[in-house]
Amino acid sequence: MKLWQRLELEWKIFLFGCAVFLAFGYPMQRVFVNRISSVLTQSIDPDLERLLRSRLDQTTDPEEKRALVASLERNRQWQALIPTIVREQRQSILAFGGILLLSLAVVSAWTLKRMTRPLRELAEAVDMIGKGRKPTITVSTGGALGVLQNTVDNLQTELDELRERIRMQGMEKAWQDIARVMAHEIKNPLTPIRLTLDRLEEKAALGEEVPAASLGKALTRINAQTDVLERLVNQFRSFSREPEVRTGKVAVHRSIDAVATDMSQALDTSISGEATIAADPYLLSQVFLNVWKNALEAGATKIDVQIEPNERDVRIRIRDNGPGIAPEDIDRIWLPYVSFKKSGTGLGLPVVKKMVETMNGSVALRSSQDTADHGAIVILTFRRKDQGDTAA
Amino acid sequence: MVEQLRSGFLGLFLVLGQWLSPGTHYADISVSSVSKSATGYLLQCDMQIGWNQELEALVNAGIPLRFRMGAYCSGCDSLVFVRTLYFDVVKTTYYFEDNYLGRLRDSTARSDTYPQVLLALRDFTRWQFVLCRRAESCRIEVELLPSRATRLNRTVDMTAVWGQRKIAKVLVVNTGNGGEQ
Repeated sequence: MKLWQRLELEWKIFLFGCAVFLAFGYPMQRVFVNRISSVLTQSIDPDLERLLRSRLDQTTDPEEKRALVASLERNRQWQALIPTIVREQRQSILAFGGILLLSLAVVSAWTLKRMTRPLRELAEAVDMIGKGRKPTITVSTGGALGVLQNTVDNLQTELDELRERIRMQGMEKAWQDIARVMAHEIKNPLTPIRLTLDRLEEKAALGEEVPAASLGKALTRINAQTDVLERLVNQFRSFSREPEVRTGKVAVHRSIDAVATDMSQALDTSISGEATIAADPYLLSQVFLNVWKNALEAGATKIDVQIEPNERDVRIRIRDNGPGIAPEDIDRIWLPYVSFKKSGTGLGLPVVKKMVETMNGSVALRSSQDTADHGAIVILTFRRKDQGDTAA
Repeated sequence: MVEQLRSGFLGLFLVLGQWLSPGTHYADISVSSVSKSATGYLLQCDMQIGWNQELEALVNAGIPLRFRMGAYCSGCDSLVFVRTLYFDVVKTTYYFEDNYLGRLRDSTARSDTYPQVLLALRDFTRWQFVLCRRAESCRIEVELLPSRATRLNRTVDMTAVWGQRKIAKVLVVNTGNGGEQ
């Protein structure tokens, strides 16, 4: 932005006045003074003194002599005072210019007080409103500026009400979503349990004996669905409570290797790099477990891990070969109960995010759905902890 | 005749001296001589007037040049008088008058007449006063007063032409040695 555009209005007025004074005021006073000096000089008759003296020498009349002396003195005094008169005129013009500049300074100060400052305060207030704060807006002036101040004040009140309404609606919507998802998720395992129990009840009502094998299958099915319910409850609890953190030094390679070994039946994992980070070993293993399960549920068969330490942090890039996530869905993936898989609860990645952030880390997700190079990349960043450092 | 010739030569030398001298547009006061008198010390003061052509033009136009000369000494009576330089337009001669204030209220002393302004200025810028024996310090002041252009009926503030309004000098008398600084 140019300097002139960045200047406040009052400074522009003052500088404009100074420029006008320098451009026109000072040269004009010189022109005026030269002109008046020339006119005054021309008004003197160069022969007058000689004529008066000549007459003075000739006359003997005392009255005439007095009059001639008076004329002689008047002529001389007028001639001698021309520089003084010119100087006085110049001083008057400069004083007038100074008063004009002072007036402009006063106008600038008035502009600052009455216009610029309220506008600047309003701009700051609007900025604060935008950031969710509540500035105090005082209607300090009348006219259009006062109307503007009043309007911004009303706008702030309306925005507050709107924010509160949206917050309430958001909470209501969140609870509705939670209830809907939970009901759905609970209903899924409940249905096979109910069916199995109904069948057993029917057989019991008919007095039929249930074969041991069938009973075993039924119990296994009920048990499996109960596990699903338990997992759901556990995940819900993990998300809702603040996990307890016991930060220590964790070798990333080893932690990932343990999880990868458990999942080796379904996922082939390759790890490169090594670093030690400050994290809770248990929570970190839960994070990796969730990421691996998420990849498996998404249909991935292979995971590639790169551990990249830098001066302060350690970045862990976990890339699977699953179908990836659509770009428009990436931002929503961290929201609870949002899942793009048929069997997902929508709590896996939010739980990962929560646990990572609890350990002062950060998590990001990138994805590619290209046919040649598809898959999701989870990037975890933790504070680096060198081997020699003591655990926090 | 001899006196006129002497004045003429002196005037010529003064004109040449002023023409040849470097810029002397600043004014100053100095004590040129000190001699013992019956009541104390007789001090002769000289003022370097800082004469210029515009001042001369004003005086030559019949506008008097007025200075208030003052000597304010601790423990002594102050001496204040107004010295005015006049130009007689008819005779084209210069003279000055001293109007004493204070103890010698309303008394007036008139100088000789001078054919040239520089001759008049030589005496105009020189005055004497008596410093009493018990005086410890003395402030000598010269202040330019506004003049009156009678024919144009206006007062002329000559400070812009002269360059200042007042000059002053403080003398501290060293009583221990019986002398002065």
